[in-house]
Amino acid sequence: MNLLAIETSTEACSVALVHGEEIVARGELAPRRHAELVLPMADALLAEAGVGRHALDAIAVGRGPGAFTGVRLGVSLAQGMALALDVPVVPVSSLAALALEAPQEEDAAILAAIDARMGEIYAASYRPDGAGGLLALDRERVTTAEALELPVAAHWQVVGTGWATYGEALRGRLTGALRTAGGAHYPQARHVAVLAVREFRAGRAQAPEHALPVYLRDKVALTLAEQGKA
Amino acid sequence: MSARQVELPDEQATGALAQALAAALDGGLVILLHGELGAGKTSFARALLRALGVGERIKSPTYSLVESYRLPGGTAWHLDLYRIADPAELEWLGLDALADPSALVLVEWPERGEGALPPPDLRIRLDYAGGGRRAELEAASPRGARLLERLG
Amino acid sequence: MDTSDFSKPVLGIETSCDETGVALLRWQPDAPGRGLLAHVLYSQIKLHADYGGVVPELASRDHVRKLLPLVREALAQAGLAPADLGGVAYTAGPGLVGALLVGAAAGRALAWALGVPAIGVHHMEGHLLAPLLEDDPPAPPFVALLVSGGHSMLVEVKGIGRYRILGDTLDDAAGEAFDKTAKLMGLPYPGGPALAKLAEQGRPGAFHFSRPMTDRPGLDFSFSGLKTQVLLAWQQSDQSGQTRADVARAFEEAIVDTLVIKCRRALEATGARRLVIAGGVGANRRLRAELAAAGGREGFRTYFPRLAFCTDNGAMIALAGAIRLAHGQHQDERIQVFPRWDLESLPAA
Repeated sequence: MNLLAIETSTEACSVALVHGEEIVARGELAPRRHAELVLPMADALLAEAGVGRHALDAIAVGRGPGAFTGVRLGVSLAQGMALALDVPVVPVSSLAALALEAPQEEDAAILAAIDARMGEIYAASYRPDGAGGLLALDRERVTTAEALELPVAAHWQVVGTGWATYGEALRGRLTGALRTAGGAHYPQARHVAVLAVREFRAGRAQAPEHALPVYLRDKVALTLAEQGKA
Repeated sequence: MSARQVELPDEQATGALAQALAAALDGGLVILLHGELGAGKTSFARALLRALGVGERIKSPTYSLVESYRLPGGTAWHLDLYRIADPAELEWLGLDALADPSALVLVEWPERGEGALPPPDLRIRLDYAGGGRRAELEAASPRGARLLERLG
Repeated sequence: MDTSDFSKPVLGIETSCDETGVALLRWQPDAPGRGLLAHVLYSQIKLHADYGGVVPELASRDHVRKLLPLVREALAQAGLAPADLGGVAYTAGPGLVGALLVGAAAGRALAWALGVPAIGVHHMEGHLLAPLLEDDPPAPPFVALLVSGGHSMLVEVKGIGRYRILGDTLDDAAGEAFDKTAKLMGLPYPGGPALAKLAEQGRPGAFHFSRPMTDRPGLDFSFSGLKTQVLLAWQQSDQSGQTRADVARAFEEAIVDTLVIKCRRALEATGARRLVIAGGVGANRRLRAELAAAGGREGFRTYFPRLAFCTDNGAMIALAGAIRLAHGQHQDERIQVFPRWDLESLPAA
């Protein structure tokens, strides 16, 4: 199958192309420049692999959580492409994609944590499923590092900007020994692609208009009534 | 760091403070404006921009988050972050220019842009006081302290 | 005005503020209906009412939910498939950055996937050209009064991309003044249209407010002081229902008179004999009646696009985009939006 994957939910911008058994990808740490980079990157990958746009079977996208504007950019791009090509969209958790950045060891749980700013993180934990994918151990949530509740595991791998900002607090929340930790990791399109292929084969691709962002932080303004109370 | 308090019983007093501040300005400055809704942050920013010679329309940046104006010595930026939902949003506005030392940067609701704003030189806190307002000016950098000294 | 046709349907997308607008246009300046094939709109006014104003993040979230269903609806109305499109036009600014990015990204990606040209349109150019969607459109040069919640501007239009701003507001836009005044008299957001309706029951002459900046030369506006006058009058009144209507009437008359005076001056200054009215406040009945009457007296013609094309809409974006595409202008694959964008900086076509 041919699948194009987009990930723009954090400071990193990347695009990947699944072409048969192969995955090729391009990416850059480029805050603010995502909108300019995505389509040229996609063109370069398609040209390199000799795949035409109309040969794509699906568009995958990191649907968040992450920076709201970046998440929406990726989802809007995927929606527009998929509508034009009459193919489905496979939305993939950006936290799950991030978790694939950690070493995949079956005896260790993975905590994926993205700095959500305003004193909070987006977090979820996973375990490798032994077949290149992930099993979710809990739900994605937005929380302070101090209030993070984690499932029991003997060993932990922590990955993401949440570690860079709140490493100390997160260390205190782990329910087992810390094996590795990397704060300079971001969700990448190649991992979105890996997870999307599995979702696609499992029949979980969606009509483009149903592939929507996941923000987690949903209270973004106070109503007039709430302002009155404050 | 130095600080001072100014009573602002009416619009004229706000204008006079803005005039004095404009006269004491020497190059760029990052000013954070603190205070509740309706405390007069936008009015003060408008008065300062007018005092600096901005003749064009001074919009409230409540929705656009940021407006910019040409000044004789550089650019003025007026930000209102009240309706921002995610500081990362600021990155999409292309605000690299805020870091230009010759820029005058006025920020309302700066606490909502934490991590995405240049370091402040001056904090101005506006509060209700009787029928009018009170302004507390506090230097947050050597550049801000020198400005307060010039303000006398 | 050279408005060469663009023979293939252009998709127009508008997401700069709180309306999601989509339209399909096979631009033919001489055909009946100008080739408009479909036009759909979703307004977020209800969403923002609880907050007392537009919340940019909520606006962006709503655009992303509504845009694709609206594109599908427009295609169905026109009986077209995406592959039939010849180009895509989206609002690239000015406006709310997050909201603009939704339409720009979806629109640009759609064009990329189809291999057709795309163009980022200036929102205000869309408003300026909207009257070309009507029968008997104005020929340049003309003067346009753009009055909405975000703008109060007089623009001289000599051709596509040949715009000169004659006057602008120094503070609040006319629509903003309507909304703020309605709010201080206790009407719920967005109170402007309700205030105008109330004004119909007001008695003439019960109150009088000044016509700001009409006592000196120039074409700029200033409406924020009017708000203070109204507040004082309202606070000192008996605040009865009739008084509220009387104040509303006097306020509306002050705004309309001011706009009419400045329009007449703008026509005089430019020598143009055609006046186009665009933007949401262009729907105001008193403004329409007064301008038409002034035109009758002084020999200038007024052009009002239909109400649906006065307020934000996708058709005007499809139109401005189609005209520029017809001239070979288009955007490369970098998606760019301009939250602040000078109308006078646009290229001529």
